[in-house]
Amino acid sequence: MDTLLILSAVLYTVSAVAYVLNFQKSSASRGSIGTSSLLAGWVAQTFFLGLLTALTGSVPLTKQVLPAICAWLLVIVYLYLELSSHDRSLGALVIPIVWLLQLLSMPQLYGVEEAAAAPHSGGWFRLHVLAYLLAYAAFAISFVSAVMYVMLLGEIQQKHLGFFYERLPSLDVLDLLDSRAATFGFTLLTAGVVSSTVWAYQEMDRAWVWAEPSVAPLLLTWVIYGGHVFARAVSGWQGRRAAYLSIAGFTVVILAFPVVGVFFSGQHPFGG
Amino acid sequence: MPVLVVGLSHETAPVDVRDRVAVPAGETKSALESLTRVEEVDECALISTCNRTEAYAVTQNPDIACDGILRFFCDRSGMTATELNEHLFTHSDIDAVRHLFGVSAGLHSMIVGEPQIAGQVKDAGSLALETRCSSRILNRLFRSAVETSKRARTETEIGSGAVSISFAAVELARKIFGDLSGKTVLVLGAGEMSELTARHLIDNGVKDLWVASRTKSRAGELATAVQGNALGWDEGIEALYRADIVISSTSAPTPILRQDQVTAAMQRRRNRQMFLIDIAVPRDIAPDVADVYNVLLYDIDDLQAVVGENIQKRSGEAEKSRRIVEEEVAGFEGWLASLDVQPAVVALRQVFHEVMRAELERAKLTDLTDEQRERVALLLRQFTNKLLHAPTTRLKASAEQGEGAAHVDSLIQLFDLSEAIRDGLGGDRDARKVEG
Repeated sequence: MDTLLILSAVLYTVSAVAYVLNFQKSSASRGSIGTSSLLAGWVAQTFFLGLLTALTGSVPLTKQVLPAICAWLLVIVYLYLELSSHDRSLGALVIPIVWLLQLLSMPQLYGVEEAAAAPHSGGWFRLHVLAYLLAYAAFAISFVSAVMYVMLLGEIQQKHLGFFYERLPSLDVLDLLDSRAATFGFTLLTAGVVSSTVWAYQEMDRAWVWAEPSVAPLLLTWVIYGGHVFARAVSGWQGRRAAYLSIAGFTVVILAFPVVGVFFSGQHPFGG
Repeated sequence: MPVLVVGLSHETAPVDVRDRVAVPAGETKSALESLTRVEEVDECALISTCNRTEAYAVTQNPDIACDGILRFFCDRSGMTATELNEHLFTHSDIDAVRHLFGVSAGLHSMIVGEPQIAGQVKDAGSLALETRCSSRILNRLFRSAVETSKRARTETEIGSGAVSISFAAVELARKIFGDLSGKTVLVLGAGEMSELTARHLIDNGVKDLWVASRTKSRAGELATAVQGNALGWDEGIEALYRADIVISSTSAPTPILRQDQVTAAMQRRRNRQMFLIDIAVPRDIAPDVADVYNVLLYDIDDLQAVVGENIQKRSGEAEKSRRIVEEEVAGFEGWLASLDVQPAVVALRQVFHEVMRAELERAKLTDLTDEQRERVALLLRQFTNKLLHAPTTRLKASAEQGEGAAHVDSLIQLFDLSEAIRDGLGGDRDARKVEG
């Protein structure tokens, strides 16, 4: 069990290093080491999460397991993108994020063994947690493409074509990816908020508490990505401005992750 | 077996001389055939492009062959030997090999790493092969030259980055839009430069192309030439909002595209990315257009700077390519040297097999069935080949190190091969002629 966890962490580390090196100076071996160790790490993580589920009887949604599930989903989304575009440049940022999420989920870091605590069992709860996690994975993709868009645009605008110009896909592709990932993430986030509300009514028999500390960043995230989707559709905020919104949105997600994590793990006032 | 190259290029001759010597595409075959008739030329091949005309030959007598090739060039150009000699260069043996490999890798091109020359070298090799003007040595030489250019292209970045204004513009467009097939291009002004850029864009998948010019007939001509649509000037400005890529090269003395026009167009196209390429001098597009949101503007100076950087990068890569050329030259040199031991190897095999045949005949083996005799013969053949394998491979290897001659001498002594070599050489030569 621990071996699987460590194995997947090690493989993700190798993969992250390989992707960054491959971005810095592309070579076939670096690229294939990156992809194959990513895939192997993902398989190890799948077994780990599967075993954990088998042992506890249900997917344990704790502070440590949540980032791991998020990383796991992110790898699926990323591998899909890589295989469909044959381009590994996004991985230079996505895989380090995967690695970071995996690091967050290593119990040793917390010094507490609470992986077995499964606070909630309701179907609504599971559904909305899954929606949030998938949304966050999408936001990570949108963040990465936005950062790369800004970098590439900067080089083209300053008329100094160099590092990013040689490595990144076109502005159009990055912008489209940012747009799609943000829209997808926003849709799931909305679904998550709706199901949270329903769940709160059902379980607690009372309305959403806006003052709850974990709700504020969640709502802020929702507003930013909502603004992103709206601005693209209505005000023609293609390109740079949309990219800035994606970067801002993901920054909030990252900063709020510990807070929201507490919310998920059921240790907030709503919890049982 | 010396290899020889005589020729001229942009490095040694001005364009009018190059033009007079150059062999037009339709005449290469006949020119090559007259080159084979030059005295003392055993094999030959001919490369002729607008930048170089070079005759490659394999000869036993370089001086006579060189004179013959000079006369061949004189006949073609109508110039005297003295006039031509000023511009001709001659390389022989390993220098000739190095020269061809360098040419093929794009090291001697006007723009380093230019890709066309590799194809031209390949074609020259194929034509010589087809017409049987070349044989074993030149065939191998041209194959290795093609291989060298492939390696230079894949292992170094000698061919990367656009080195002309129009290519640089297209490369930028691809970096901005990715796939160009769904993009709309508007060409303002129908000059030569816009035509060139428009053609490159079409080669890169653009299907929707509009040309607007002050004189509509000129717009029509260019539009027909590049399979686009012609517009009047005002219509063109009106259609600005539809264009993803705008190429401007009018001869107007003041800018023809102001910021407010572009702002209005961008509003109409809901801020979708627009790429403006201003290749006019003086400028066609006001510089403050670059401040409009989601507009990218490159003028001719910007593109020139991009091209300059790319050329510099290529020269840096040329050093690496030179190393590849040296490796390939060494490989070819080794192969050439192994040819020197070839007659001895053939003779040795002949002697061994002769002995084997004679012994088989002498033994008669009448008490065996046909099948059994067959098996004994097979056994002996395999035995002989096994015995010969190690010495022949070692001999070739040492020849590639340049130490073949001493071994050949002792082989001749030990196995009494001198007669067999004399017989073999003639046969070998005939075989070589056929091999082509």
